[in-house]
Amino acid sequence: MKVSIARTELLDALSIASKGLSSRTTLPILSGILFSAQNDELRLNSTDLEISIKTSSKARVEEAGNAVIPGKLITDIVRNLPESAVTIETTQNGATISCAQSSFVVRTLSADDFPKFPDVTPGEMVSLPTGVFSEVVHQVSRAVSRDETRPILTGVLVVVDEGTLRMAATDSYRLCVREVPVDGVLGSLEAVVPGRAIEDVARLGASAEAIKIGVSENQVVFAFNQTTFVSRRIEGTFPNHKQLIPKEFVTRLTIGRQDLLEAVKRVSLMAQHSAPLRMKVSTTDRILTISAQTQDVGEATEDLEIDTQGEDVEIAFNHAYLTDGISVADGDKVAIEIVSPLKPGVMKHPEGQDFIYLLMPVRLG
Amino acid sequence: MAATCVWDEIPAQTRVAGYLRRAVAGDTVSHAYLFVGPSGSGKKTAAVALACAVFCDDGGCGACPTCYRVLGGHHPDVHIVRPEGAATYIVDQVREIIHDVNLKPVQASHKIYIIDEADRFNPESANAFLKTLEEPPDDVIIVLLTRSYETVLPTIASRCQVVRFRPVPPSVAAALLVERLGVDTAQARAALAASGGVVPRAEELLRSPGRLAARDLCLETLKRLPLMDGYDVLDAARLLLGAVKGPLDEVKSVQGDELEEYRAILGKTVSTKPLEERHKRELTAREREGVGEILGVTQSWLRDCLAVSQGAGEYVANTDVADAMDEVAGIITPAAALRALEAVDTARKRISYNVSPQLAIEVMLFDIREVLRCPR
Repeated sequence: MKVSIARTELLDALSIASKGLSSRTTLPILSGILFSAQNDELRLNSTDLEISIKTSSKARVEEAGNAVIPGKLITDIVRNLPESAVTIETTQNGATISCAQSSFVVRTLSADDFPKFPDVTPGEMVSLPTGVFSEVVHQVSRAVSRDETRPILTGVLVVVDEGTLRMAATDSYRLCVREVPVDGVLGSLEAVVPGRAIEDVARLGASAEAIKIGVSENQVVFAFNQTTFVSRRIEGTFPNHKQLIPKEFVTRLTIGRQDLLEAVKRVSLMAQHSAPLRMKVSTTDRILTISAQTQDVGEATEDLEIDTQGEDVEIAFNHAYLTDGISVADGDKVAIEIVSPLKPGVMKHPEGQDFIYLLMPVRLG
Repeated sequence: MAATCVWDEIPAQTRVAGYLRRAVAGDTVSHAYLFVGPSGSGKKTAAVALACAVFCDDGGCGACPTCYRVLGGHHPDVHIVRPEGAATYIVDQVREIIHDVNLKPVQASHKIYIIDEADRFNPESANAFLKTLEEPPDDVIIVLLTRSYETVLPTIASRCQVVRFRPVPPSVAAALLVERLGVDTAQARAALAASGGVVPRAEELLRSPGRLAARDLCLETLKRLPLMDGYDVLDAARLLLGAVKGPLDEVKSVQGDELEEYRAILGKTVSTKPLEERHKRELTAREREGVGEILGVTQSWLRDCLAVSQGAGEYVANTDVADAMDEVAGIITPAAALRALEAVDTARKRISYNVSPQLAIEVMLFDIREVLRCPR
């Protein structure tokens, strides 16, 4: 193989492909990136057997061929090269990388041993604007579970249907659902995608205009620019989250999002060792009192002015989960709806129904 | 015939092959199997054959790209796992398996996990694994391999369908060796006698000049044993151990190369400890095997002497040293031969309790010398 390519383009491709590298010691080949050059195109492949990434860029191919080059090493080399054309040429069992006056020789691995890129034929591909996609991923991915005992919860439910995109994630303490209308999007799909994979896609695809999503029996495929990102799906069915969301409320309060966020952060300083954050709503005074107390450390209280309707209530939440919810919520104001101190509270946009953050309360001692 | 030839890889286990083949054909494959059988009885081959049969459209043709990939060990949905800890499965390793179990397969209809040495689960790693083993997703098949049912933790064993493998009969094993290596029957029988009847190990023995040399040295020692004085015996034991360690150098150099390549590819930052630990385990296992071969040769030689003395010369395994045996066989009584065989068993037991192999062999040689000098 002999191929020349501009350094920036190569680096861009490498930084995408290196997301798929594995450090698993049992299969050293997975720490390599498969380079294949043909028809004026350099294609990079990487996989950790869970996700697979394929990306390509235009290049001057003098001799077609394949090689597996250690991924981290080549990325480091290219990052430090000066801005010029980079030439990669393979020899018997190594590769020479040269650029301007520098040249490097690295070991290569046999391209035949590299796992084949998954052959996925999704039924149909749905194209989503990147801005919307990344925003929604950013909002729901906080709620993804890290606990492997319920594997399905380590994924994000992605549903596209009738011109809307819906994503949901839960770790059984909180549930985050976001629904947005996407105009002109045809087709429908439903899949549970591993949380890490969908976050990677949102990050890698940031520069693209649109991200295409397709689902096959075992995999979900994302395509943007010159890149194809394939992730294995998670076994099982996502819990029916719609039935968890309360239809009514007893108390409802509305407050400026930024004010609430800052107040919660301040009071949280006194909620150590996962002590709960108490929220007391007084409907007559239109005051929300947030307080926290840690034994042997101290306590904090803060009053906030609010708009309310309904009855007085006192409820407690885990402060970290509450902070997560407020910081990803939409708009300048948030509404919190409470049924009772023992039932989950719901945070949403004061007018819309398209962002819902359901949070389990902490029992008050 | 061509339609199901992966099962031909385990000719000595027709019952097991038939059972598994029916399970695949009738779509009644269980989610977890425990293959129990002595080493070399074809457990792993059967597990791989099962994977082929499940994945392949023709029920395991052994020739299509899918089968080729499974047999070559690079099918992404066939996972062969060995203990990564010093002597056991470690919890992290089990978590990695569980993580993969919960993802959909890469390209096949199922995911198959072949877990070697299932008796090496410690309570922690076993507990981490139990729930997955009991109720994995529908497309998972877990095959645990072990040498004996009793050594597997009951919590693990009770969650699997047990499939028992018979030891390979000597005549079948010898025929296999003759066919695979082109050696004559006498050589095959001698190698099998030295390796306790395990076909792959006998195959390795016949391929390794160093190990064959150790066998010859052992037979030579036994022949001269009655004439040796105390110092000679100690010296002989030392030489025998030396002969066992000789072939290990080949292994070491292969391992060194592997380690170097690994460093070159992954860079200095990645820990090489798991690999080094695997190498160490491999070396210890090889040395054990070598010592075991010495004991096997001694045992089969004594057994041969007993057979000749009772006029059953057709059962002799080590025909190449028949002359030395005739001498001993002429005077040895069955009781004396049994005493000598017992000495070998004791040595084997001691080594399994971590007595230094050299010490155990020294004692054994002294005991056998007593018997040979006074064979009544």
